[in-house]
Amino acid sequence: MKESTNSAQVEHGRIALGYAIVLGLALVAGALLALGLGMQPLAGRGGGASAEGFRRLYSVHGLLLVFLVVLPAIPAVLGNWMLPRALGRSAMALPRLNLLAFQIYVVGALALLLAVCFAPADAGWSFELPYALTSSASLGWSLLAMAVLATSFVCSSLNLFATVIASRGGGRTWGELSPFSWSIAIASLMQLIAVPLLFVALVLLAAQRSGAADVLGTGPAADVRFAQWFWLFGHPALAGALVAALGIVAEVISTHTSGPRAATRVEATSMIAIAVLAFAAAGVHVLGRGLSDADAAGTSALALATGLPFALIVLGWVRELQGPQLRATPALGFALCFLVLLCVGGMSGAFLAVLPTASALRETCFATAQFHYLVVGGTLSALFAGLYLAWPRWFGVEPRAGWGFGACALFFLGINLAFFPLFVLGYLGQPRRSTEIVAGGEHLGELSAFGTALVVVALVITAWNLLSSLLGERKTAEEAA
Amino acid sequence: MSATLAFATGGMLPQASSFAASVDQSFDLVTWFAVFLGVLVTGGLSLLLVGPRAPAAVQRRRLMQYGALAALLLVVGFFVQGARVWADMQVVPRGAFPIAVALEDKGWSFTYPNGFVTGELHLPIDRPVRFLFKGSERAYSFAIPAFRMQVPVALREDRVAWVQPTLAGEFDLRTSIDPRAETSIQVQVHAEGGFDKWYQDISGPDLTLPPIELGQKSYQMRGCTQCHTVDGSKLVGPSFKGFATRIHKLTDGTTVEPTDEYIKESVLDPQAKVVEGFEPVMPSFRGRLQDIEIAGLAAYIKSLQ
Repeated sequence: MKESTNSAQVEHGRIALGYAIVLGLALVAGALLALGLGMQPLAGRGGGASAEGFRRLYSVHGLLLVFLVVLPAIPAVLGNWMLPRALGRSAMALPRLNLLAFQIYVVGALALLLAVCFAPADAGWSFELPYALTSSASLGWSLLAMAVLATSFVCSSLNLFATVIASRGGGRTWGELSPFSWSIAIASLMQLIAVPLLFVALVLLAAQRSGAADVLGTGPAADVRFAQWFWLFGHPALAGALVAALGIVAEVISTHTSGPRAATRVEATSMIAIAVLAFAAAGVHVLGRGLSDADAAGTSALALATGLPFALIVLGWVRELQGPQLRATPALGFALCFLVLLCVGGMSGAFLAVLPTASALRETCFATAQFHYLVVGGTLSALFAGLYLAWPRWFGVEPRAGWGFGACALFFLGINLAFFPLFVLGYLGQPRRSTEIVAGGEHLGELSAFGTALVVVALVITAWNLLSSLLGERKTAEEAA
Repeated sequence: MSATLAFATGGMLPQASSFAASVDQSFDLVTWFAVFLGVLVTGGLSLLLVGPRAPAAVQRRRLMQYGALAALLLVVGFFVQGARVWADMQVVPRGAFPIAVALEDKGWSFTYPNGFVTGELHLPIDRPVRFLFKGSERAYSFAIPAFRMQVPVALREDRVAWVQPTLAGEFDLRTSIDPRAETSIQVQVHAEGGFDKWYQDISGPDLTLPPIELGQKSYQMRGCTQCHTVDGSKLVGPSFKGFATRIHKLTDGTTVEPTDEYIKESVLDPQAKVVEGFEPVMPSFRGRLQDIEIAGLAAYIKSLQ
């Protein structure tokens, strides 16, 4: 009996490592594609990829990064490694389902890779209609890969949620759970509700494209109908990734100040509020597209209200950081990086929720910038903060702090250089996903491409710093022992 | 906004409509707060990292309450200000100058109240303009950044929007939703009086001109040039060169004499007699041309040797 628990314990650590490897590869591929995208408008007239090639480039970039990296990053890698430990358990509640989730994830990743190589999608990762209906590319493989990955997310979330619930059997109450455990519970519950809606969207699109059934209808606003289903999945799923990021960052901040603690009441209720508002405000993605005036105003208010729980959590952290002691490590560096990127991304979200600015800025690269601040900057900095926190406990070795700080600074600089210029370009009316840059915006485009290159360098340094530490002697483990 | 981003943009995006200022106001409100918050957070964090540590949690209890209240007030403020500006944008003022807009394969098409159709967008200054967007087999957006105006038009769905230009000059118009329809043109906002003159010019020729001259003007202004040349080359329709000097063969095998009656019939009911070798695609001009203008056209066409 004891042996089986041990093997199960090894299992979730190994699964975490497996996720980390696949995810790391996808991240590098996605980042290199981003570099290609950034260079595109600078390649000059006639140079670079055709309009069709460009569409494939951004579609593949989005699919890889959203489905293989952003959505599973924190729950799958850090959740698998840290959650049982944080809950004082030796194993997951549903270890076999957890293993199955990972296996399906690998199959899904391979399917997506095949789709990318042999039948690249060209309608963006969110399958914008009407283009996704009329596109001549074979989207079937990408849709299939997404369905497989969605299955994996459902299995994985079910296990994570069950693990948190089951841990309370040991006499623990919700109030004793750490912020990370809380965030994983809420993020996995959000995925459990949101991901099945992706199946609905995928089936609707596949049926309509194949002509099997006229489900989206030919009447007006068929594209809005699809977008509503898709974003009812997409908005909460991405918000869930951010909730998990909030959890791990809270963990990092508390560890570096007064020591590990339970989630505060503000943190727990704010996370719940974020989850509820994420579903309620999903309509913000179709703002200005066939919503009635009352619906538009309501959606705007709900989307703006989403800022409040985030603000409360950040305020709590600022209070905590004022505390009597503070240890500086790369983990804290990435956590602070997350905090600033979250503020910029969150505030710029307000522009896309306030009605008049939203109508002027939608479909411009302002929206691209906002999305990337939160989803790329936010999720990745939280992931790295968590990795630097967990690494010594995981492998018994300490990654070099100097390189860690350097990569953190470079990442922060790179994200801001890559995406802040897009806010200005978007304001100038630059359409998103365009190979041409508006007059007067050329330098901003160059700056953005340079920033993307810095991010790639920061990713490489981080990967190298973490991996090379494994080759060194395990001093920390001996010292700790 | 002009203030906030002027340094970054060099004032490249003028406030060219009555909305621009109020949209920029919304923009400014959020921007200034974002800048304030950015300075507060990064500055505060830097201070926390290098400054002395606070000894106790006495002062900090209030931070949450005040912070939460401030955030709530701001969010409500953003919403109310934005909703007011937006509500104003939804209500088309009475007497606005109507222009119908469509995006076709060959580009934009604008239809003015007199029935004149062109690919150019001309607007009056300081007068409200009402756009009727015709839904078609593709979704598109109609975006004029200098007006802070972006109207998404869904598939097969008509839509109305309005704007009041406040600056004369040329401004970018583009569409972004369908990646294949990168249609960028310049909008021409005429200075005071300039639009009326332009509109009069397109409304039709001066009917007091001598017949042949009237016909020539009419030929140029009524869109005949799109399909009919006067130099003998074939377009969609037959050339008018030498019209009076030949008997015309029709698709049904019959022939017709080059008379005034034949010309008038072809203008009002183009499919009645179709010349051999051409498709029956010409639209009727019934109700758009007065008899005197048709007579002028006939005189002009017969004068072409």
